[in-house]
Amino acid sequence: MGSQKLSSEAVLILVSLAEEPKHGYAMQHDIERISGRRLGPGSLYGAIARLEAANLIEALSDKGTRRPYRLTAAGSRTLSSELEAMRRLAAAGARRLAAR
Amino acid sequence: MRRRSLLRLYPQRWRQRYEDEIGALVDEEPLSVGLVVDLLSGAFDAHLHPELGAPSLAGSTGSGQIPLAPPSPSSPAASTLRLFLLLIALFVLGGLLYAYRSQTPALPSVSLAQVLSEIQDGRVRAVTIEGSRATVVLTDGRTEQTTIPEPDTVLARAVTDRNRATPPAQQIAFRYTATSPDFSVVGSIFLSVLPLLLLVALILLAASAFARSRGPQRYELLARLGDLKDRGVITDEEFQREKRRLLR
Repeated sequence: MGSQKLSSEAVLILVSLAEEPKHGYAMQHDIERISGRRLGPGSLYGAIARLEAANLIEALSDKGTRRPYRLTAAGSRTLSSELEAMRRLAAAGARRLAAR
Repeated sequence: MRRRSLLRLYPQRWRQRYEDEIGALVDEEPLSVGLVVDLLSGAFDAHLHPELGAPSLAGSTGSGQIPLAPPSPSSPAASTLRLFLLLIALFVLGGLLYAYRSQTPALPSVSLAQVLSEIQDGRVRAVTIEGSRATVVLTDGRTEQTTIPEPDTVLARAVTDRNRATPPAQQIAFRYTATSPDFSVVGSIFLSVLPLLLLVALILLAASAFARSRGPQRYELLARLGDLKDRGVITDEEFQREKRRLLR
C-alpha cells in the first residue's frame, strides 16, 4: 500500500501526527500552524479515511468526538520516503534556479 | 445545528465511522460557501470510494484491522451513485429530445401570395412540394413554408415561368417529394411516448437497484462476522456490538 501516491492533505496529516497522536481538531490547527493551510472538515476527514484505510494511521481509542490518531509503522516509512522525495525535488529545483 | 445536516449527504457507513468526529469540527466552523463546498465534495468523494469508512474492529489494541467488507466494484453506494448520474443523463437527453421535437416545426409560415411575389422578384433558390405543403428556400438562406391547394396549379406554374425567363445558373430548384405518412405517423407516435418509456425504464432500474442494495448485503456481513467470532478472531462482545450496529 505504501507505493500509492499521497495527496498533499495526506502528507500534511502524516507530518502532523509524526509529532504525537492528535484528534481531528488538533490536526487542523497544527496543520494551519506549520503550513499556513487550513483544511476544511471535509478534506481533512476525506484524507483521514484514506490514510486509515491504507493502514498508514490508526485510531487510538473509541473516544467519540475526540478520537486521537497516530502514525502506524507503515505510515512512518511512507512519510519518510515521501519527505526524501520532496527533499530531492527541492534540491533539484534549487540547483536549476542557481544555474540560471 | 443546520451545518451538521450537510453530513447526511455522506454514505451511511462513512457516517457511522466518522460523523461524531467530523461533526465536532463542523460545529466550530462558521457557515460559509467554502464549508459547504468542502463538505459537498467530501460527500461526493466518499460515495465514489465506498471502501472508506469500513468498520474497524481492532478497537483500542491497535493491532491491525480486519477487512470486514473488502471493497467491491459494485457496492451499493457506488451503484446508487452511478444510477443517479445515469438518471440525470437520461433526463437531460429526454429534455433535449423534447426541445428538438418542439423546435422542428418552427419554420415560419407565409401566405402563398408572398411566396409568389418572392418568386417573381427572384429571391427564391429552391422550392420543394410535399402534398399540400411547400418548403421555400430563399436566396438569403432563410427557409419558410406555405400551404398550397392540392393539386397545385399556381406555384408550379410560377416557378416554371420564372425559370424560363432566367439563365440556368439562377433558376429555382424545383422538386416534388412523395409524402410518406407511414413513417411520419409511426415516428411521431414513437417520439411522443419515448419520454414515458424512458421514465418507466428508470423507475424499474431504480427499484431493482434499491432492492439489491437493501437485500442480503448486511446479512452476508453478519454471517461473516459470525464466522470471525467462531474462529476466535473477534470476541463475543465485539460481535454483539457490530450486530447491533448492522441491524439498527
